[in-house]
Amino acid sequence: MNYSNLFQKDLIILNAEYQDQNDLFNSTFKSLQSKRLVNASYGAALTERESLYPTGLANEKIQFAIPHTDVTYVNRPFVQVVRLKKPVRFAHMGMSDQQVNAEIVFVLGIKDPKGQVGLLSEIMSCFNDQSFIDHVRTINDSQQMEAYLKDKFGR
Amino acid sequence: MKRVIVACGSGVATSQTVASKVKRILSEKKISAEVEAVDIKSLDHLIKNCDVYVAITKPKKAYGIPTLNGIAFLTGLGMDAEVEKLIAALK
Repeated sequence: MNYSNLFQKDLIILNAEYQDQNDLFNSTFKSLQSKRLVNASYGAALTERESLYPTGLANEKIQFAIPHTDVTYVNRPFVQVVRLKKPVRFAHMGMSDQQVNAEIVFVLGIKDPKGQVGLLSEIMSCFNDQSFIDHVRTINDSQQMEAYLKDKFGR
Repeated sequence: MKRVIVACGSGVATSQTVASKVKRILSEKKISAEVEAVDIKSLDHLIKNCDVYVAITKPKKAYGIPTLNGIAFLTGLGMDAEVEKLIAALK
C-alpha cells in the first residue's frame, strides 16, 4: 500500500514549541480545519479520545505519539507531522500511569480503517529504524522532509 | 475455530494494526484462528465467544480468558513473551 499522499509539506511542522499537549492539539486542529481536512468537532474529539485512550509510545530508541480519533471527524485522510523543540508529555498507550516525553508527533487522520491498516504498522517499523529516526530528527526543511517521508511511505 | 479479539479506543488504528500483526504471526505458525479488531465500546458484547483478548487499553475488569498486552505487538517491545502466551492459549 502506498501512503505517500498522506504526507504534505504544509502538514509538516518542524521545531515547534508548545506549552503542553492542549496547546499542541489546539494549534494542530486550527491548521487541519483551515485546510478542511477535519470538521468542526475534531478538536474536542481528539482531546477527549486522548484523555480516555492515550497514544504516547516509546521503544528503546525514541518516545513519540500518534494521536487520532474516530473517522467521522475526518474529511480527508492525512498525517500531520510535528517535530517538537521541547518534548510534550503524553500518557502512554494502555498504561496511563506512565508518561512519555514525545519528541515527534504523527497526528493520524484515518478515514478508512481497513484500507489504512498498513499505515500504522509502517509508522511503527519506521520508529524502530535508527536511520529513519536520525533523518526525522535532523531534516530542517519541510520540503525535504516531505520528500523523505513520501519516499519512505510510498513503497 | 478459536477466536481472538483485539480492542482499542476507537477501533480505527491500533486494534486494526495489532490484529493484522496477530494474524500474520498465527499464519506463520500455521495456527488457524479468527482475529477480530473492535472498539472498546463493543468489547463487552463481542468478547463472549472469544478465547483470547488482546488488550490495548488497560483492562477495566477480568473477562476470564487469557489477556495479552497488545502494545507489545505494536511496538515489538516484549512481543516474544506475548506470542508464547498467544500460542499457548490457542492450542
